[in-house]
Amino acid sequence: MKLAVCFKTIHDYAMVPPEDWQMTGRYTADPGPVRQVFNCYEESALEMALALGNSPLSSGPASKNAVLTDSGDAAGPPLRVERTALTVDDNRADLFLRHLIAVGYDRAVRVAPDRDLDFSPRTVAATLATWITGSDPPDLMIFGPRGGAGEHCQTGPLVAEMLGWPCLMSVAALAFDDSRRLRVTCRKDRSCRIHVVEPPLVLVTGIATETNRLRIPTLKQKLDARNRSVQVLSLADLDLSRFDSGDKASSTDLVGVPKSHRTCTMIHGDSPQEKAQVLADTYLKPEQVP
Amino acid sequence: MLSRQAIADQLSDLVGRDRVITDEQVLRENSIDRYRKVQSVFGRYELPLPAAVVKPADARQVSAILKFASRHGINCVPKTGGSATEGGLETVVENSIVLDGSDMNRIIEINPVSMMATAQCGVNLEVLENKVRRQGLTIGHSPQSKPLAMMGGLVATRSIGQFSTLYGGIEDMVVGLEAVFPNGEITRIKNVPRRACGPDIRHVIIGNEGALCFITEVTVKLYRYYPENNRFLAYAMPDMKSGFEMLREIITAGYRPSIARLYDAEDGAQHGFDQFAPDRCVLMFMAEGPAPLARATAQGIEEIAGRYTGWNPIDSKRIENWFNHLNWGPEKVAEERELIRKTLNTGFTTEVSGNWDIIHSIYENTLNRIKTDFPHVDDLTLLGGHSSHSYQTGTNMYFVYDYNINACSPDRELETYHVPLNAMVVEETLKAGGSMVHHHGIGKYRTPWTRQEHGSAYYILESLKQVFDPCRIMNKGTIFTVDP
Repeated sequence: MKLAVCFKTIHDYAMVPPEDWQMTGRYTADPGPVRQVFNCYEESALEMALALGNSPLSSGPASKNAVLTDSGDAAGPPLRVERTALTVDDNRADLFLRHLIAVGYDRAVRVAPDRDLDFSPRTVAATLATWITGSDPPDLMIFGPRGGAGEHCQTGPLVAEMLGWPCLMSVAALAFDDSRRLRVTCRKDRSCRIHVVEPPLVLVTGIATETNRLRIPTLKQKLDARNRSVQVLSLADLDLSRFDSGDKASSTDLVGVPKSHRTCTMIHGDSPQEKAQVLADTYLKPEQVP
Repeated sequence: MLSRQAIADQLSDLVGRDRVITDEQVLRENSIDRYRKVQSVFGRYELPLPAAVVKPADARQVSAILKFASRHGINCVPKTGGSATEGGLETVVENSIVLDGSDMNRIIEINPVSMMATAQCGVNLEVLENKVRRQGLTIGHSPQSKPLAMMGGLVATRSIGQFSTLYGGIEDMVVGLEAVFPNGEITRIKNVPRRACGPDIRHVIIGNEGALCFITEVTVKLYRYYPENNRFLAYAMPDMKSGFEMLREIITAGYRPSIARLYDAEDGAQHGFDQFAPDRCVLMFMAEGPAPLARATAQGIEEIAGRYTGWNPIDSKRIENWFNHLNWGPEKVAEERELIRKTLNTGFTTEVSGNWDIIHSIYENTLNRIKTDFPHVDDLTLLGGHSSHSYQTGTNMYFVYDYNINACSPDRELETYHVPLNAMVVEETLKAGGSMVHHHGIGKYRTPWTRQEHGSAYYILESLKQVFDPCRIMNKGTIFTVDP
């Protein structure tokens, strides 16, 4: 099975002091010189794809320990999982793509944009859909639920729509059901649905996934990854005309940090039990009322 | 020997039942410190449980507890904030008492005239710092553990902060203190600017790691706080050797930036430095103080840097943003625990020091030794280090090593990974003539080298133990091996 995971690096917004946010005069805000990190939602998606290689029936690059089913029986014929990490970003993403090669991705592809695409989900989706329908198409596309300054949550569903593939949202876990089909667990609010589906399809992970931290490469893996190349494509290399890539013109008018006010209420009581009871009755139980 | 129950009962008689904790989970958590963070994540507590955690209200209660422990030969482990990383808080013998000073948390006085602050041992450093900052002052002590650490533990471990190159270590900040010895004697060293009345007995107490006495109160110096004058400077250096040279030149020229740090490329990468200085070492400074002084310090650093070649300037804002998020509060501890649980990846540091003429050899020899001799080198995910505290005569080296726990179960992580890696750092440092511990304290896992560290001066150290703790009830296994 061939799968591709789309991701984007973002600024580590937690490190940006409010006074450093500046309008750039383009389409977005510049948080200043802070480091880039994996978008945490897409980090989950990236790890989920790696973990799929560890699930029963498969034998991807990281799967040598995992050909047993839960019952301990030998599983069926090994499945080869070929993983691609894909991003639409500038060359700052290359460091992250090499990291992904180091942890087990077979291919790393970057499409270099010619402008800021944070608020252009249709253009990004068309770019990805064009790549997907290229010479070596994947069977499965995995997206994080949202990413970057845009936070529009549109890219995954738009790609599915353009390709005419089914799309499952809020994906929390992923495993092989048999050699052709996937068992996809979707969780939203309090509901949990398990779908057994056959690719091609698009999966969009949920906010709460069962795997949410990307594994960490060893020094040796990092060294080996240095000798592997990242495939870089320009928008000109792709024929976007097959898909509607027209985004409405948008601009950023105002940048600011929402003001939040915190207050402190002391809970009084003669014992910890009494204080806990006040906490439960006054603050916690009302929250649980539908 | 008293039973666990008898110890708890008699402690309750001394200090009141509400100050004695015997809940089993609390006892488990108090049998270790962050040295066994992996085991605690997986709920594996292998050390003997203490008989009780007792939280005295004042020095007189501490005195009563220590007299009781001396009378019955009960091991006492002093503790305040609990941010120790070297096993110093581990209860390695049965039925110990964990003497937790965190309830002694009163700020006694802030004296802006004589520039001193006096606080009980359980005052959190960040709380005290925030309080003095409201008066335009600072303690100048800012270890990464600032949100967690408390005054007693900071002094007991000879802690150091991130602004040490200007303000010094905690030993340079302590004016006077109060401590209780195992025989119950409450001693107070008065607050004076300096004196020549025999040896400086503060240093019997500072750095004793709970192996000689219990610190109940500390007075530290205060400085004026001028954050508006802070100036960051940073350089991407070709290698550690040239970084050490430039660092040495700046420090020995007489400049005292509060921050002076040199990261190798591997360690820098974990902080994202590879995004702006790939494969380079990063040398950074912060000049602070009154405006003319901060300006002159920055100009001096720039002037010396100008004499060197091979470096590139780094946007100082990057370093400032990064530095402002370096501290470890409860949220980072929780995040680390989650990371360990989910990825089985963990990491530790071993901090050493050496004079300028050997520090680069210590750095190179140690990394080479680990790469050559460590049997699980393929599991390492990070191996590097940085210097973060510099002096006229030398600097420290903070070795950083992370690994995937791949060759053993989490229960055996320490002996498979941490212990041998720590040993290699210590051995290479001592071989070169450096010191095996820079600021974490010896704790319980560098004690095999305590004699070698001190050489003929070990006589003095051992004599302190014999005189002040003749019953050997204070923090068994810390600084001194259990059976010396």
